[in-house]
Amino acid sequence: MHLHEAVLAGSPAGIGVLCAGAVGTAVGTAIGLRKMDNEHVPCVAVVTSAFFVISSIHVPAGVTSVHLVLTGLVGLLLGWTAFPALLIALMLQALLLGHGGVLALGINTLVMATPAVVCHHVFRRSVCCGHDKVAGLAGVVGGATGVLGAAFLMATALWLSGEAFTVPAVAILVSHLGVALVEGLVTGGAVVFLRRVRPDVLERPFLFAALSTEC
Amino acid sequence: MTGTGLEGPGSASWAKRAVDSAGEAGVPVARSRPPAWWRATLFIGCFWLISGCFVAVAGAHKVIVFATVQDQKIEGEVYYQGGSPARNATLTVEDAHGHVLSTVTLNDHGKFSYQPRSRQAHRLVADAGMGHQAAYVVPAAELPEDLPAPPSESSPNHDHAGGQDHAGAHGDAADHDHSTEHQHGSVTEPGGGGAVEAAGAGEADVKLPGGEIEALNQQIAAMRTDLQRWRTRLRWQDLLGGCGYILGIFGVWVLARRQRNEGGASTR
Repeated sequence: MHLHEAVLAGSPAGIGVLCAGAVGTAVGTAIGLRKMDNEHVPCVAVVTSAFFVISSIHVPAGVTSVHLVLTGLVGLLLGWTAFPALLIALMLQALLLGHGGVLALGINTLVMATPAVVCHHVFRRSVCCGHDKVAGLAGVVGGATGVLGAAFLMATALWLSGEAFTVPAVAILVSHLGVALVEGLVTGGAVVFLRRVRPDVLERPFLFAALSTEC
Repeated sequence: MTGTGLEGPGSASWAKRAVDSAGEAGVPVARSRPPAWWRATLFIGCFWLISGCFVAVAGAHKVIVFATVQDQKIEGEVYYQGGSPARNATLTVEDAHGHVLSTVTLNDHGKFSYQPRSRQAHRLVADAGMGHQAAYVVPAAELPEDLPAPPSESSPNHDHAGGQDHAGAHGDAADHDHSTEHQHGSVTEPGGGGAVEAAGAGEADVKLPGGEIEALNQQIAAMRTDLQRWRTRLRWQDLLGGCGYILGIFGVWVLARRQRNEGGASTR
């Protein structure tokens, strides 16, 4: 799900998309850094490392290939802190692995971090509620939503840069359905596991002042 | 905090100690947090256990295009990092001035073959869709010397002999009309006895039979392909290095914030 800078930098519209992505990522990263305290940094670092490794998993999907991103799980655990976390991970992927490119770092981060923050707002209460089944289901839906949201934003970015929208968007979403299913299951399993082993991680209020654990 | 349904067996002992100590001091009961090192160790162990199961087949979808000159043709392949071919990717051949010479859609093997018309740098741009793009430049020095000089920029070579051909076995993007016979002072005669003659000053031409030259070219091309695949494959070192950088960046962040907080507290 990495947009290569060569794809976007070839037209004025694409350059505009790159700039807009950079601005959006800068704003999100500033918000995320303000909400990240020292106690939370080890968790953020580990989640960032996991994203860096897991997003290298190659899953053939028809004529192309897709990879796991875990944006849903990252958003549920980190909230707005997902912006600096994904920014660092994607920067290292661009520098060390050559994925995406440095110029496209902003738009790639925005594409992946925005669904993560949305998942945090929408599914966090359900994940923290007192019923394991409800929390697990919320984790599954949140994980799938994160991937499909990122795929939709990627199609939108390509459309804004001058490419056609309908056919590529459908192709992108269809090719990511399998990944969304896998990610949903992984996220749901991770949520249930954390509820039993490390519940304080899910209880931690990242956005709301006092996030109640009651649904 | 009771009735949350989130308390696990791991937190019971810590919660009990917190309750006991708080109760003795007469303060409201608060649930103590486990040590940071334990939380970090558990997280690292869980995520690495899951990630390690997949790293063996790790290979992101970075698109790679690579080509060599063989038998006076540019032959190459487009594949994803990990080795899987980029099926149905679009390959565009551009000349040194950026003019499109030919375009072809690759088949399931991701391989292509292009007959150059002039001795100039050819830029190969592969587009696998969904924002995946890669480029490779075949320098003019690798092309046969008997090819004509490139046309001037005012008359771009828009010879679309290959057109929008869909790939066959090798994704040919141009016709094969080229002569294998060429007159050059430093090239040996085909079928010769393999005698080596001293080349002119500044040149390094080695006179070998034509068949041996082709065999050498094929072996060199195969070696270059293997080298390119080795260079672009995903390795454990890259992933470990990236994780190390991540942990280091966040560690420096914590250190800087702590020093800033301590500096602010000392000035009060």
